[in-house]
Amino acid sequence: MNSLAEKLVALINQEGASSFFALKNLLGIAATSLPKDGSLPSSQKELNAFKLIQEALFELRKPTRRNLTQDGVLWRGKIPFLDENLLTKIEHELDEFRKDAAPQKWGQYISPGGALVQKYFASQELRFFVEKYSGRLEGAGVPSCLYYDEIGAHIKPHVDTDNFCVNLNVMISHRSESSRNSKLVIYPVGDALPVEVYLSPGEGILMYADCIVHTRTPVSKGESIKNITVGFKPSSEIHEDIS
Amino acid sequence: MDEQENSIDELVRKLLDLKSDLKGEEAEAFEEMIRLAVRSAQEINEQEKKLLKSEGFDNFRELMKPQSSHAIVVGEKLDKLLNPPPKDE
Repeated sequence: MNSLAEKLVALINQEGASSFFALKNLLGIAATSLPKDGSLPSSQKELNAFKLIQEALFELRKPTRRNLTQDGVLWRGKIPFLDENLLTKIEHELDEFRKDAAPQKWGQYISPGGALVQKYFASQELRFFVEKYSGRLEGAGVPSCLYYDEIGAHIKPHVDTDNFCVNLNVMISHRSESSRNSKLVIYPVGDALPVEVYLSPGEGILMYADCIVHTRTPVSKGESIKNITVGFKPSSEIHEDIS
Repeated sequence: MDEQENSIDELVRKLLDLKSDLKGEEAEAFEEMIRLAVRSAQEINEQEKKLLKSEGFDNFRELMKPQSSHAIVVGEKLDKLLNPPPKDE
């Protein structure tokens, strides 16, 4: 007998992109209801609903994803080309773009990348690197810069938009006056507990971010984070028409 | 937006059909999922409204596809799932 998540996904099977994304976006919006501190819902009723949301998001993409595991992580490690010198230069570039960055829903800010970000994070080389894990991708990666530098800035639990099916999230800097509280949290499908991820400057994590729920928990007073996030779309699967 | 609304209407119709077949724990999890979606859609809408007058890389923000338009539609349409019309309507 099919699980409820499988029944949900069966509703939209073979009906094209608009139907697929109507369900995917509904599930993504529902996932945003989780607590922002990286914990699971305290009530059993909400936890059961969240498990259903997770499983359905996973089932939507499972048939077409190479190396998709319960936590969606494809790779984690030091970005090969990102030495101390380049990291410093990129951080300075981000500082310049921060001045005009656009505020986002939960207190974080976003900007496009400058020349260095474009050169290193929208490159063919980086795409080839990602393809080793995800298989073939459409077009070039889309880099953006994220800033968490106001008290409480975070991103609520979510799945990424279709531009970020595969997401390479790179830590450029994480500074604090005392302890570093903010963390990336990934919610694996199944019985495993949420996984806390603390990235060091120059370190990145590559994951299927449109089908695995994840969050960045709030920064505390005096804490600031600069990230570069690069989105990719796997070839040969349904994608959203954003025109 | 018309195509988006149509696809959500169609999805809601199918979800209503599915809901009528569910019992026990499955029915409870399904209804709670819809409640969470409605609650989140309202919260996302509120946050997005606050951003409307903000400055910055507006074109870039558009590229990043805010969820607002979708959340507004989802929030409105899903009410049918929590408060379905009588069968004979």
